[in-house]
Amino acid sequence: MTTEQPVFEYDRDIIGKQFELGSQEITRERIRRFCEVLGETNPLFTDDEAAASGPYGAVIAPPGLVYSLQLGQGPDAKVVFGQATFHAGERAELHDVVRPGDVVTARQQIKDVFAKTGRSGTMVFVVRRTEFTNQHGTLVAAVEQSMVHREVNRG
Amino acid sequence: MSTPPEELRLVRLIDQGRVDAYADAARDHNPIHVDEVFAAASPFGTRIAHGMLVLALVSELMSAAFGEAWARSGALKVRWRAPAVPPVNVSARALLRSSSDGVATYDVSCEAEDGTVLLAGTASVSRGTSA
Repeated sequence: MTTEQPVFEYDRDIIGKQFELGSQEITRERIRRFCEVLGETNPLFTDDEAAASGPYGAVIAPPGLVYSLQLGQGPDAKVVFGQATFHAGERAELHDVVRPGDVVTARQQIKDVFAKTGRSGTMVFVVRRTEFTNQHGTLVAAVEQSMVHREVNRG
Repeated sequence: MSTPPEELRLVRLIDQGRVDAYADAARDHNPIHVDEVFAAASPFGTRIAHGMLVLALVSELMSAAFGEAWARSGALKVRWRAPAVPPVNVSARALLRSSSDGVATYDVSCEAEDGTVLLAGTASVSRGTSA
């Protein structure tokens, strides 16, 4: 056995298991508030009058609102490594529009846990995938978030 | 079909007021974003903006250029480079990298006013194949 092999503990059984996080109605008010906070002024999301004669008959939700929905605690891989945790990266896929009154359900799984050793030491990555479906069961968006666990540099 | 724009750009001030309001709107009250005392003891030493707040600017750029096509077929892939420390004027930019088979792909980034890269990656959108 080489001592180069990074050693860390985690719950292997949790990988790939899907957990339902909860559901939420995307109300017109929620869309209005999100746009106001972000400074988003695109009429597609804000102009009821213009949207009434558009293809959906109403405004649609900004995609950023949907893929960033926080709907409860997801699964925990119980990674025991390092002292610090950071967001490493994000992937988002958009699949369909969300209209006011749609009810979005989030399901999350831990897709992968792996270690990488580079010049700055060993890092352990945890990749979570969250899928968002509407009340018809249609996938509207998905996001994959990588968290990195690493040792704090001692110097 | 028209040619996709070469460059998209916007600048938005992210101050603590916007971060606090976003915490309420997104229901993400992680103390690293909103609690001054907690954040001072964190590895960043200060409160930082939500990553999703910064990333939303990229989505805003793509929505402005592609409308509902972005909501139906967009894909984003970014790496976080540095936290956004409010108050900061964040400049979001997308530069056309390629356009073929109805798919436009952009190199995207968000930078702080001092030039620090906050995030970098790609965004792509399907524009259909009809002429």
